[in-house]
Amino acid sequence: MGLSISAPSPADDVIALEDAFPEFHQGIERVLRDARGQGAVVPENAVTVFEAPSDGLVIKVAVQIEGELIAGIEYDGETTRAERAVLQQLSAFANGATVREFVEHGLTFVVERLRDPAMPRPVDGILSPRNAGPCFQRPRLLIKALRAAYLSQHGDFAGDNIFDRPYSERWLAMGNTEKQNRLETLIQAFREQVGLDEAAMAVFEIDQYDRVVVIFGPEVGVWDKPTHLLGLERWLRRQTGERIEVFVEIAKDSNRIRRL
Amino acid sequence: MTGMTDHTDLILDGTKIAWHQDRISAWERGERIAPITIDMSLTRACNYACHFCYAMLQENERQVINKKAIFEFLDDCAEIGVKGISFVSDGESTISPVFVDAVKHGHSLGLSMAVGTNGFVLNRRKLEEVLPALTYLRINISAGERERYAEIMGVKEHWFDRVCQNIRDMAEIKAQNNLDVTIGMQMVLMPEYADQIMPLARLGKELRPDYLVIKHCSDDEDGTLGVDYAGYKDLYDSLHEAEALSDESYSVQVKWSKIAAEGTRSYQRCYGAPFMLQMSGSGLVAPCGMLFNERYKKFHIGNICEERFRDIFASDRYWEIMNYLASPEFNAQKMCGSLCLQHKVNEFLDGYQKDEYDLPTLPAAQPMHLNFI
Ligand code: SF4
Repeated sequence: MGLSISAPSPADDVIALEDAFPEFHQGIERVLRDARGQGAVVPENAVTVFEAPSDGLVIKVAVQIEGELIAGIEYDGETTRAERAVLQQLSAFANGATVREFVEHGLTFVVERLRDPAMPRPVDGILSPRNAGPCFQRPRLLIKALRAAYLSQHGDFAGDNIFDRPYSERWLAMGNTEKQNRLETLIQAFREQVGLDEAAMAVFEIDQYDRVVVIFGPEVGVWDKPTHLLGLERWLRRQTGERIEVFVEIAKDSNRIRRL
Repeated sequence: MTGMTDHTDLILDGTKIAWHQDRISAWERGERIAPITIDMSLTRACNYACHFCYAMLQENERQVINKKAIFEFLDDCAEIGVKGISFVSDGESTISPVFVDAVKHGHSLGLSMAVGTNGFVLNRRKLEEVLPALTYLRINISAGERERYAEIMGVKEHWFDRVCQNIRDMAEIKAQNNLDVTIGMQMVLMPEYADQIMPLARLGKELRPDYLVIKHCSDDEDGTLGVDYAGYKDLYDSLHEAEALSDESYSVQVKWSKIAAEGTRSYQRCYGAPFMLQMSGSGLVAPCGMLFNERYKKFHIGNICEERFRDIFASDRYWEIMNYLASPEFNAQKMCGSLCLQHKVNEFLDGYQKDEYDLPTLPAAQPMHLNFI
């Protein structure tokens, strides 16, 4: 799985990332660096290849019909450097994805992946591929064209529209104790960063789905709790690369007559 | 799936979000949009103990919404561009001492106001005050017979008679004063209440509200209420039979799309919350009712008993949470309970965001209750 762009962008080194908001520059440069040396990827024995053109770009997707899994992707056409990074990240997302998952969620993932989390989002409201900047627009139309091409041949996507990839194979292969130790070490590091001791934010439970449940001490202000919870969750996700969720203990109904 | 229907009178099983294209466009441009509809309660308390009540799962740190807090909240809503406020959510708003004043104040500000209630305390005097200020009033009533009403709704049998009388009064006051308000009855259906579908449909025909709607019961992601979604299939015949009791001024409607979904969602991101916000009767502002419980504290944004709503709405925290729900950090299929209030709005926006369709050209006639999407 990888990326092939047959007509590379002109004068790569001198062109600035004019079509990308500054919040994406670092991510784009990182992806372009990592992408060097990758070659064509559509396997010759792929069962079916779908091709869709849009606005000077062409996408070719090889699909193993069994399970609709993407086996490879190629792009043709002249791109800016930023667009190339977007397409490169799309290919990375396609790894292990079905066609439906790719066309429906790929770009949303790419926006998040390329965005610098240390900077505020480039829009005040909800960030999406539609408003994330010019470099996302041609890829978006390309994906739209691919969806149309695929559906015109297939009628519909196969299987249920249910996708979830919370944990990697590597994480799932780890023993419970190892996972818990790793999480607890990271939670301790987070507490140190934000200046909380164990009594202020203690681990109540790490459940069978690796969801972390914490309890707060009385010294933590009510409106500091959401910030710490989201902060901890993001920290755990960044450090582990896994979609760990963080909660506090459930509150029971305190109405007098109504009780579960 | 746009969720739009041909029914331009009263849409009970669909969404009216497509009629708010200016707000969708602003959202698409990344602007901070005010919710079109806010569903809230004036209290977490309730005088009933319904067997199916989702509010049991929504406990959070309680505060009291007093007159100052609710008036300022309504003022802020009008100022930032909210269009409709429904008092439904996680408590019985009619037992709050600020209920009547809140409805009238919201209406005087130009907001569309609505109420979902068990109807027990809404006597004639109160009804005469609030009905002229309401777009709709909906009574939760999940049985058509006294005994079963008492069992399912956790109250004494004679309460049923009082609620029926109150519904009669509503229909009468509406007719006498030629009011615009829509009077509805709502059955939250669990498969084990199947025996009450027809008695309730017949009761409605006798009491003469404008409609009876029959909807699924929501559950949390761990299935705490134990709703048997597969069991709804066996009720389809009764539900069709109930719908057949509709006449020219009484409509029985089943929320088929949610019942047939068997509790599943077709989308992963949640885009609906900024368009349709929910607030708890504790004053808590959270994206939606399914996230009210303390367990979901990370999604809690503010409280109108402590801070002005316009400031909560303008805060980075509000938009941080809304962005979280719209990002790959979140998966509604795994992290939410079954079919929330925002479900149809979510479906529409999800399809649009994925480029499944463009914004539709709208029919000339607008549906009723447009500000309750
Ligand atoms: S999809 Fe989930 S987060 Fe969004 S409104 Fe529904 S229950 Fe709440």
